[in-house]
Amino acid sequence: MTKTKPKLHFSRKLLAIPYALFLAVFVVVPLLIVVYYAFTSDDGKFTFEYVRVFFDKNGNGLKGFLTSYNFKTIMRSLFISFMSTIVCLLIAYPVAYIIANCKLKNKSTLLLLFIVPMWVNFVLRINALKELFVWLGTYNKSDAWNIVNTIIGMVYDFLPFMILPIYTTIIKIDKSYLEAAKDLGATPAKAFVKVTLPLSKAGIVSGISMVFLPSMTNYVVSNYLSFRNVKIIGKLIDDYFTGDLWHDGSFISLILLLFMFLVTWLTGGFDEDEQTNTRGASLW
Amino acid sequence: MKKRFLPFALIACLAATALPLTACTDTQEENVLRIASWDEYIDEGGADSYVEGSRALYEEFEDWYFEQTGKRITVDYVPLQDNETMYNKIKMGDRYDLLCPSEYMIMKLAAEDMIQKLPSSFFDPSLDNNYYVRNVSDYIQKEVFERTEMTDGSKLSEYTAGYMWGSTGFVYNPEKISADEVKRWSVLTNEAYVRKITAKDNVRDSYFAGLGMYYEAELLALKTRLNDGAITLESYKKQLSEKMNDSSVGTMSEVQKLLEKMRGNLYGLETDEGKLDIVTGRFDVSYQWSGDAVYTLDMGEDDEITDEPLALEYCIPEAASNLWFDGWVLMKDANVDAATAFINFLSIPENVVRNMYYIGYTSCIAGDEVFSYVEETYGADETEEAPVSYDLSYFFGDGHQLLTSEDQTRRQLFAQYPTRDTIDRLVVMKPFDRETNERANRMWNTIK
Amino acid sequence: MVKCKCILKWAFIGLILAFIYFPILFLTVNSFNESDHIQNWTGFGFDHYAYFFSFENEPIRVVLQTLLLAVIVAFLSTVFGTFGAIGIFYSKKRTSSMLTAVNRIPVINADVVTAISFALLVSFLNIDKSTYIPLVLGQTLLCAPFVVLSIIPKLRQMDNNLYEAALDLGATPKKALFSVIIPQILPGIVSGFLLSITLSLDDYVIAAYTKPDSFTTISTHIYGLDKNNILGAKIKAAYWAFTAIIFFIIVLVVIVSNVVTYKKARSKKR
Repeated sequence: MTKTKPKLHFSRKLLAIPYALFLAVFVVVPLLIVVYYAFTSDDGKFTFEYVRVFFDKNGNGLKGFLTSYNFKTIMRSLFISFMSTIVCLLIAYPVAYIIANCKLKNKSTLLLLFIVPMWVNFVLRINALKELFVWLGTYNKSDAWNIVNTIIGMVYDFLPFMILPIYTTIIKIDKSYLEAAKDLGATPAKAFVKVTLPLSKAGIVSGISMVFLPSMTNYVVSNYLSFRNVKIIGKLIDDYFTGDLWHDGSFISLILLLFMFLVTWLTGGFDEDEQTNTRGASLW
Repeated sequence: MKKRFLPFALIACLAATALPLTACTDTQEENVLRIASWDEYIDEGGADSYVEGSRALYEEFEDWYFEQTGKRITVDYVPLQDNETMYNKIKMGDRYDLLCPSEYMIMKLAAEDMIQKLPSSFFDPSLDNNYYVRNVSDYIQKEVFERTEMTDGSKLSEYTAGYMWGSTGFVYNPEKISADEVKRWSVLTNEAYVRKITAKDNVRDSYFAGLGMYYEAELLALKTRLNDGAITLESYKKQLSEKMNDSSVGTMSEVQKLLEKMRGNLYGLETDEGKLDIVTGRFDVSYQWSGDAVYTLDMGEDDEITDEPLALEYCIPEAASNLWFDGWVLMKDANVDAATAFINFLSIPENVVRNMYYIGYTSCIAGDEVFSYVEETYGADETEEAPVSYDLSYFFGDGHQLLTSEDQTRRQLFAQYPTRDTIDRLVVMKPFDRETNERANRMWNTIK
Repeated sequence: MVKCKCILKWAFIGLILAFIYFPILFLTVNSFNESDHIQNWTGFGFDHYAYFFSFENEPIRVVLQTLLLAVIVAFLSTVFGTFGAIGIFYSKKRTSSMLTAVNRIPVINADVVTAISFALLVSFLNIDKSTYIPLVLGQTLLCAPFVVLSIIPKLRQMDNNLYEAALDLGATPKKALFSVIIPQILPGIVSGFLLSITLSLDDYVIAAYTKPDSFTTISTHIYGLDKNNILGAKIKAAYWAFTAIIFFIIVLVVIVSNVVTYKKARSKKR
């Protein structure tokens, strides 16, 4: 026993090494390259030039930044992703709740109905939505419609990612808690607020993290549904790279990256506690 | 049973990684010709081809090359979006043998030492297969390419063989907007046509349009002086070129304001998406390259797309516009023999006609076969009441006049071959240097 | 009162389902349009289906090569992810939590940033894109972390004593790994594999930045088609036929899974 045990633990742990190398080379190193590009000039010298260009466009300091195009784009992206997340949540929570608590035997079939459209390629799905908007006459009708259509597109694309984690947490809730609440005289509404909602928090957080950041950056949706008239931060980065401005693009990527870390840290996404599986691995 | 899993997994894993690897080995061998060009920029064969049911020209080239040289070659034909995408791909490490960039990008690539000069044998008219040098229009080769200087002092003609050329201008629906309005660059900021106009989604074309708006009054005044005989044509052209290539800091920030105003007024920016929408009436004016303009005009009469034929027209702004060329250039380390053979193959008159028919652009190749194709397409038929004479001698050589219907002087024929006096007000773009390029791209990124 | 609430509930579900399916249904109907242009209904026909299923044309080839890519990527991600998950799970606390955190980066990171940073690495190392290595690796990088995420909970649920018992009975660690651990976490592996396939099929950004020029996936192909020219319209229409086919498969799957649950319920009653 004492002879075999260190060996076997060693053997299993060894399996982490190739994967750790994989993560180091293809996740960590590329991010370091982004950082490198954000703070060096073409000849490889350290510089804050791109920070300055980003924040201080016309030499007006912070005031200039607040009226700058970059700032407006970031604000627009935040608005779109904020709205998309809220709408997704407002749709997904009731849907997940109803399915999880319905008395039907084939709950999973019903759930499947919300998930299977993901089998249609997402660019095709967005294309379908675009053709529909064209048909309805709201396609590129005005700036406001472009924003609305983009939000609808984001919701359409990301809704399953919100439904699934919420459904998985609700279905796991022990029914005896609810019965206990009922026995203690709580109204159904109160039981929901005091029991179901707190217990499904993990699912909500996980859903939000799957919708909020992608809907800030998924420029395929915004490009398609607005004749490229709605620009979001993902497109901004793409434009800087295709426009031969790698350093500027890297700096904006870096900002987005920091933002992502902030959001994840705030929602506790890096904790090791059991996470509700994101993007619905429980789907299958 | 379980034991067998590991070797199986290993084999499957190897197969999975080897599969793409085997696919790649043949592209690295020498018998592959990698060509980067534009979307919809060559006859792709099929039902829409001039020779119905034929194969794509780059595929036919493989057989032709084998017949000529006895060597097998595979063409890897890569269609790209625009010059900036091409440049970025090369910068990211993609390698090709043959590229088809526009003149300013050719100059930029040459300045950065990424392309090589064409071999002298390519210009020897006595060689059987040198179709390009025998057929190219004197106007293109002698008047433009040999007179355009690169940054290193050599001539454009040493680096490139012309493929297609044309102008930029406005395609418009004459029922919705008058020709007088689209003659002005300022139509782009005219609030009467809010959400009725599209412009191009790339920095050079848009900056050019911005310069057109900025210098419009000045250039029109210059033109009046030319017409009054106060200045020579030579000095007019020189001043025009200086103004339309002005990239100084002051001018650019003024142009930026105009472009911002334009952006708010547009239906949108497009590269290729907008061709059909003008026919279906989603907007009425579109800033287009001449070849796409021809394509759009043709679509206006296509009964599968619209029930009532729509007679769209093409107009080149009065003040100044762009004269552009897309030319074939060899990258460093290119397969020179096959690449030059490809250029010559595309310069065989029947292939020129096929390309022109399929894509709508105008070839740099002249010659009688091409002229008779133009005549067959745009010439006046007997029923025409008042045919007009259209002079093409600047391009095809003396004596090449065409009798055509009056409306063609504003439509496809005019888009394909502008009149000589129109060409005088067209300007060739010059490349930006590194610093200007960065400044221009930043400026454009805050607008698009 | 209860009934009214119930109706409201199902009306809501129905409304959302309508929102989800209407665009797909719209394309399905239009896939039978003889014309290539949606705005212009010229008659009922199967032209787009014929075009889609003809191997001379691009769409079916693109669909098949995208599927092949997805299977390769999913296979690699599953192998990497499975061993990665086991390794992470049995590592020391600190190593394990660090690796879990790094593993989450590609999951939550914006895919544009993942794609661009990876493309920068590719151009830094000067890897030729036409070798397919950047594309396959890039998508594996996207999928493998999800495989890890779907396996770790299964490892947690696993009965650890079985493994120890196998060793006590004289199995080598390798044998114990393959005959005890892997079978127990198999559901996680399978769901990770299927998830990788969906992710790879849906990916646009990474493919756009890393694919060889001569290769297209469904996503990059359709995205590049939005040009309103004659050939583009035809190919797009063929993809509507493809959408319709998937839609019919969806309907079929839902019916079959319904029948299966119904039959199960009946056999239980007996």
